[in-house]
Amino acid sequence: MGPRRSRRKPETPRRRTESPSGETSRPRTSGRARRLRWLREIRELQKSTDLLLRKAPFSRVVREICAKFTRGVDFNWQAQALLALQEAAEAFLVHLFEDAYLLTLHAGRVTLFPKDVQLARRIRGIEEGLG
Amino acid sequence: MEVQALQGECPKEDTLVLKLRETRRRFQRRMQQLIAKYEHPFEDDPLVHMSTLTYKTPKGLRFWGGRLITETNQGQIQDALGNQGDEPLHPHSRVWGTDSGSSDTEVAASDQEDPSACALAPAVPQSPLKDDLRRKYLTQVDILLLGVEDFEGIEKGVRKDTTRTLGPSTASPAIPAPGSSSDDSTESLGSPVQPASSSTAGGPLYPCPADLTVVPRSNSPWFLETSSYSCLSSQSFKAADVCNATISDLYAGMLHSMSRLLSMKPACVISTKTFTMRHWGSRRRRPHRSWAQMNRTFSIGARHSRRHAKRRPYPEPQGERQTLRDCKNFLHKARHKKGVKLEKPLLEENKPQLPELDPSRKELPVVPRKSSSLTYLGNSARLDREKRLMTLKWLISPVKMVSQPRMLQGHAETRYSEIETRFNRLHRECCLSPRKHPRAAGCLDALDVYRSGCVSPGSPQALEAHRLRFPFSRAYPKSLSETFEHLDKRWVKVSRCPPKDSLASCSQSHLPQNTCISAPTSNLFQGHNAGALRKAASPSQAISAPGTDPLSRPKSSYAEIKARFDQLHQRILQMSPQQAKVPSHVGMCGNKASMGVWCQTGDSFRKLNLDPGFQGLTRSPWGSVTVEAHVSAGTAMKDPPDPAKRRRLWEPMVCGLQTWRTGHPIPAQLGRKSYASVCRPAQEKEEHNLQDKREK
Repeated sequence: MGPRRSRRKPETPRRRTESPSGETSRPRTSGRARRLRWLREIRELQKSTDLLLRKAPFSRVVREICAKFTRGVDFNWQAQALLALQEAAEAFLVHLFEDAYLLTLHAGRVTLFPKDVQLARRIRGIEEGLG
Repeated sequence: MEVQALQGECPKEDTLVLKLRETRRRFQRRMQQLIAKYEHPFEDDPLVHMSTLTYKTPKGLRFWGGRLITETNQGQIQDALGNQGDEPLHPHSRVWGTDSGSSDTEVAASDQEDPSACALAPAVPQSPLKDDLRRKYLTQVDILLLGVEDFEGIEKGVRKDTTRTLGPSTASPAIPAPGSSSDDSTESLGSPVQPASSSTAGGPLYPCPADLTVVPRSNSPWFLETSSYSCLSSQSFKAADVCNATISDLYAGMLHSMSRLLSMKPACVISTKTFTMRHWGSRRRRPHRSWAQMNRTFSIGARHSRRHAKRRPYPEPQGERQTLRDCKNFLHKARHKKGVKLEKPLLEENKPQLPELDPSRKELPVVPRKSSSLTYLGNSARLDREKRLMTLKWLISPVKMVSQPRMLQGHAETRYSEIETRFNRLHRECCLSPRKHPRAAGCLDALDVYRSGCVSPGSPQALEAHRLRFPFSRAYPKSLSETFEHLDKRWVKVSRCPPKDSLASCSQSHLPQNTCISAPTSNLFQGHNAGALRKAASPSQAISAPGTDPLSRPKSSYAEIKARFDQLHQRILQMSPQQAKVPSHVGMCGNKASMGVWCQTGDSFRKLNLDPGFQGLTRSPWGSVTVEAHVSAGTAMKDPPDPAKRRRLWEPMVCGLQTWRTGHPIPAQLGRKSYASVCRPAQEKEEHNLQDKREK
């Protein structure tokens, strides 16, 4: 029972990695290049500290949420306040996705499911999972 | 095996926990960095207007995270070449600004913003589209209201053309087009305001742009002012008020005005094409008539201004203007052929509006009277305008309108206090010479004045007061018939003379007040002469008028005034010589007159109880009691009256009588309030019924 479970868990990522090579007659180089590409992208994103969301869409979200609390009146925001809010929001989201992906790996998958995010928030509690 | 498996699992979970801790640490570190980065005041930071998502940079306006917007001096907007935009330009997010600069850097720190611009930035940023919407809406409603009054004006203009001695400034019936373009703006905002705001603006067709319509919101003095309106003040009003009213504020008003329009013309669908064409056609026809009439008295300058104003057509939608004009021409001709036929329904439609107009002359006393005809015309125009403004007051929700009703209430209170003092004086005179009939007439006069003066224009109170004269004539069959003759003569005189002299016999000290009050009363009497008064107001009026009185005072003030009036009325009835004559059956009462009332009523009710089908009571003192009790107009005006109904109305009174006979305190001694407390439930029910009838 126990060993089987322990064996099966590392297998799942392996199966996923094997599937692109087995399903088509594509050259292996393309698959490797693709893998390398997203790996490279991951490394770059992990190094960088830039804002990942675009400012304008984020500001529209801010306006929408702000209007809910101000009964439709549009406030003025300081630019730095918007930036700070965006950075905090992004940091929170990155942190949440990291935790959720750990749970994904823990479940023997490599694909992030919504239930992983929900579980991460559940484990964190109301305050840290932000409700 | 199992131990190994557990050991194998534990490191896995440990790694998970470790990784979770690690991410948590990273997150905390990141958040600390962020806090350190932003933990200082950004006082000179540019503000991002969330309504437009723009902020000011030295180069000009810029979308947040978008492209740069530079403005030319004319306020036209151009999109700059330099952009880092990742989204298209919004169609509605154009912003009019006056800023230009050289360098555009990141928002962070180096942006130097104009402090004045920061100060000018409103807390609630205005979007031009919303203002346009507001303006359009108010313009449309104003035009609708204006159109309604034009119908009245047509009728009025036919009869009052002899008194039209208007100045040249009064002769511009220009109404701005609903969505007047920018090149028209100087005309539509500037010129029409002036005649509308001048005190001598005459005729119901004075122009009033949309911006004026929001006026009654505030307590500003110009509403009370009569002669010195300024174009500037109204313009500033426009800027302040149109922008302050939000669409949500206007929504209640929209509902109100729509329901009012529907109730005013219940049979017609508002937007039917024929109605619209007829509406516009008649409005278009109006200047022709007035032009022809005014030709007699107008100076050349007036003609010129009139002609100039004629170029501006009535506010029809731009697209349909041509076709509508064709239709109108056709209608115009057809109307000439048919003659009175088409006009009749219009007059009938506006018949209920007339009582609204006349009592609204309450604002008259503020006017310094020099030439009666001019001021009369000017005031009528101004009253039209006030009426419209009062109507438009409802277009903005009561939340926004807090200040105005207060002002009106204050006004009513002052008038009420003056009337009360006068009433008391008359009352004293009555007491001094109790047998004198003219004094009684004076009291009645004061009653009339009181009723019609305090009652808001076209409100149900006015009608009630009007109707209640009939029970009066029944109540004092002998003496009051003389009184009414006296009154009729007086009021006929009043209607012919300027209202200045109307109540001169009553008092000279309160001249403005008297004139203010006498005007509506005289109009009431103009409309209905002595015969009509004796027969009471016609049922048609009673039915038709209440539907058109949405501009009455707030109900609370009405209730107050009504209560006070009832008290005073009770006192007068108690103290009047007629009542004092009646022998009292109870000697315990100190106030014999008041006892007389009750004995009288007691007799009448005894009669009623004995003979419920009694028809001849109309001339008995029983009628006087009906006045006291505010019998509804419907029952009071039926001739012969329905005894069962009346009895039902007087059930509480009967109860009161019975309680009095059984030894309870006499209601008349306690006054009306205590009486009401004695048999409140039934009376409340009756009053509720009365309210319902009035509303119907």
